[in-house]
Amino acid sequence: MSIADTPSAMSFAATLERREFLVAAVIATASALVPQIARSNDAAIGTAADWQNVLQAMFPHPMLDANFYGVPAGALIASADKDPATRELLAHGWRRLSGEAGGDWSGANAASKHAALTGIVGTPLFGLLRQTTVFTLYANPDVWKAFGYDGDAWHIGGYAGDALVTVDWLPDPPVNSGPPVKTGGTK
Amino acid sequence: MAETRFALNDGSVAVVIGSGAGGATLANELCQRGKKVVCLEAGPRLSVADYRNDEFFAFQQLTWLDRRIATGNWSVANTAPTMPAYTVKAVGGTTNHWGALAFRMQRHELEARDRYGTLPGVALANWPVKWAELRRYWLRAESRMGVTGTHGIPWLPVTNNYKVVDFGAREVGYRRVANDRHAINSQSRNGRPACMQLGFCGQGCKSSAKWCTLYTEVPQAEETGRFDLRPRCTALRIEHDATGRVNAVLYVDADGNQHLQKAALVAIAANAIETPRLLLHSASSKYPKGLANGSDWVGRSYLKHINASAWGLFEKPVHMNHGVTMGGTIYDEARFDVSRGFVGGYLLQACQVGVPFLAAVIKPDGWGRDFTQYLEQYDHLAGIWMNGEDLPQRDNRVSLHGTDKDANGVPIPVVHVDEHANDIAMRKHFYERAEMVLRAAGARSVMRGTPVSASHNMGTCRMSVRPEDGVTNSFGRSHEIDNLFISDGSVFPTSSAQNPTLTIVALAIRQAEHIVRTFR
Repeated sequence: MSIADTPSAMSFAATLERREFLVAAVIATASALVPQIARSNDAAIGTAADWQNVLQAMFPHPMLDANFYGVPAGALIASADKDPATRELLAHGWRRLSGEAGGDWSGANAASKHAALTGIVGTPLFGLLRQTTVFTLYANPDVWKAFGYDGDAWHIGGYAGDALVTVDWLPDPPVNSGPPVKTGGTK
Repeated sequence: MAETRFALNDGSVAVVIGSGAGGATLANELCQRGKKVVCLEAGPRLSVADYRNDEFFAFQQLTWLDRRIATGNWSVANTAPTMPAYTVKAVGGTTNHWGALAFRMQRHELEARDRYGTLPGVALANWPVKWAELRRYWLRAESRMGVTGTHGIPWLPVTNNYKVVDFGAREVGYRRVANDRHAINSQSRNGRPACMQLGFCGQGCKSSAKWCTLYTEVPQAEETGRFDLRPRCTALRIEHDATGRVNAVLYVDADGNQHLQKAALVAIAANAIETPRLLLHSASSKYPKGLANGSDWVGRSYLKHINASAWGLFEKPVHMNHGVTMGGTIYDEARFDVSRGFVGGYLLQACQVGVPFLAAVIKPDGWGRDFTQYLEQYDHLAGIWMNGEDLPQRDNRVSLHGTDKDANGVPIPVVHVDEHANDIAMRKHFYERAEMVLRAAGARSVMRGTPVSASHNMGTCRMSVRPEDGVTNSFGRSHEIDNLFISDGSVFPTSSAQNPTLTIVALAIRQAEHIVRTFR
């Protein structure tokens, strides 16, 4: 699908269709650092550094280094280089966001940024920024680690055994596993 | 053992379309009883070694991603306009990704027309099978699937997420709370190991502790030498003879070549969107509205349960992802009680997803600190899922798109859902109750998850006593064509509050007996 068709709210399926190329873009650029990952120096669509700053305001995580947002930002620029519709969306979006932030996005305060971002909720640009972030930032195992998400458990053999329950701040349930069997309620 | 292959012109075979809970169970039962079966499965044959504990990877690997269209006032039409349903395209069907909660229905849920009263715009129906009759088959399905809390099978252990939900539930006065009824081995059984608590039930169970037809019904059927499974073969059209009985299925294989498989009977178990799609697309001069559709019920009364979720953020760590996806269930709100302002009921189910799904689907418009604070404190979250009974409405339906076709020239399915006021009232009740439960366990804030694409598709070929009220009789046998069967959740007249798979399996066993009795 083209970006122009991006539904106002994120379509998971549509996002997945896009994911392959997003991931390819990320893989192609992941080893490079911002702003070198941006082949485009076209100020009209904003730079990777600009979009990094936008995404950081949109999905703020104080615990994460700004460079984590370089991957989705780089993916945005890379897709703009390949796809005229994405380029148009970013160009229009950058004019709008930077304009509403008083012409200087990175210098704007948090409240201005939040207000500008509130204005794009539900637009195709919002969908593009969100899905790009979801499939890069939130698919990044280093980010998972920072959030306390373990991901794959196969390599550790799962959590079965004595260590399964680590919640020690509540009492155990009054009923527990094993016979005698007590049916739950649909007997 | 050599692969079994039946000839395309062997008109003595039963053709089963789909290899999920209904199709593979039916096929296995027929093979065990001496019948020859050709099973057409649109997806590839994977193995547990192919599964990965990675939500996005598994989504791409397993999901039915062929384009569909969602319309109507339900939120999915906005959040996932090309993906009304979240189902699987692989051998094993949706049993690859199901959460493995296996519940029987309650008596009143099978008598919705009599018990729920008259509601505007609702096509309530009683099930044409009595509860006591179904119970016999639920018992057999539970034994087959190894459902915990039945047949002396121990429950699974408590997980972190369940422990939190259980505590909160009891604090607010719920009494029917249990981590039972999983079709997941709590101890090794039938050649499969006990659950490893990997936490990725929805991505294909790498340990094979979870019942999935890929490694249970399918190999059992193959051992009989009477099962010809054809993966990556998509049924395009069902043909019939001059008398109107079905006699062949046209399908396309992985290489794009079309074949016509002769058949003594055809059983469709393609999930409740593809099943009516195939019937409607098989229209002929004899059956201008589609096969089995003289009553105009094919595709109608689409049911998908009401889903929603709630995610509590706690001061102390939870690690909800440690252990099975669906930890256990609060049954109290599934009771019959119209005083709550809605008919039917719902289950609250301890549920966990990973960061990727939490970000992508649970809050599809989420941004800013309201959203990101939950993600970044992932290990302090506990989750509750809603599974509620939605009401059958004639115009909530699967239909064929007028112009838009897939690569095989088959019109893509349009899934239309306008929610009933009852559905909306029930979801509101769930959000309030789930939040109470989570806060009672200590949550300092709660994020409400948006409804997601439906995995519990039902109702689109409802069974009925009278031919004019539905598509099949109580055995899933078409009222109109006596050798055409429906073998999936499509036949459910109402959805109940219970996850559908156990009943799909029970009905498939019952249908197999019926077929063996009546087709000699």
